[in-house]
Amino acid sequence: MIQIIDFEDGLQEFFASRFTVDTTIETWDLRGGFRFDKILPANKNIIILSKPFDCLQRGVLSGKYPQDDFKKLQDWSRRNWRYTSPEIYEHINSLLTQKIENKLVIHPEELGNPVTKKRIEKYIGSKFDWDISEYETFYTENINLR
Amino acid sequence: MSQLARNEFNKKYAMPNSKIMGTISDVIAKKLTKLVTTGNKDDIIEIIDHINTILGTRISDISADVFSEPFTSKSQISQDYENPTGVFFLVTQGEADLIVGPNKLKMGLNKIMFVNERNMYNIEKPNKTNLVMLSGRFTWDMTKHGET
Repeated sequence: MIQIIDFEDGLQEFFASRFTVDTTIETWDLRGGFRFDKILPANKNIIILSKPFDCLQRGVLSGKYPQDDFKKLQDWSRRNWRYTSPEIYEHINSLLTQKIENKLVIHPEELGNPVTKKRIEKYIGSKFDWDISEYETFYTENINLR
Repeated sequence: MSQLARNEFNKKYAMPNSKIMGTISDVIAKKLTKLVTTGNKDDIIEIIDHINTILGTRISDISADVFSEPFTSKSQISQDYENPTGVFFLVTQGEADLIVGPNKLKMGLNKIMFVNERNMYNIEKPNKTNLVMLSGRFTWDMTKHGET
């Protein structure tokens, strides 16, 4: 089983949909709270280094935080604070260096590089259905949103 | 040009130069003071939620600290006439004045004070008494926050 981890509203579902092997997805955080105690290392772990504010903005763009939904706006504010505070990054670093041994760390900026696709396929031992030529659209919609 | 743009912007969003947006509870004020003075962040989510309840909108760029020495902060102004955002300050201990344009406003304890950042503004702390202050930014919603 391959586990894919990113921030809430990260790229884990997108990645999972491009694999032909079984995957599970996990998030570092949810609604401004930590999930580190819930994350157990899988046999193989793909860590996506999305920028957290990109993820938050993806949530906004998906319509997750309507202006008239008080509870959702509260969640947005919690997450915004969480991403400006160092604790979450300390936790991630701790998990990556001490708990999750077998891992492949991917930065979204690297997705336009054909070598990255090969690295992923080599790591999971299966096809990663990722069209490099689509990268420009993907990049515009998902990366450097803020 | 700046004055014209500001007036047009303020009218469009019914945004005053400053406004008291509400008052936080004594319990939350104590928790904020404790957070800043001890560094224990256990209550931060509750504090954010409470401020969110009062403002009813997205809040960001939250920062809180304790200041012991007198200071006059650097004057700031924003030229952003696209996004209706504003800064806010919240003092739970100590004394400080908020200078917005030609006006000097005393920062009342536990009051959430909005500043239209398209005006020149800064903060003056006159004495050596500890000042506990939180600042942040929120999205101004004309229907919720606007001057009628």
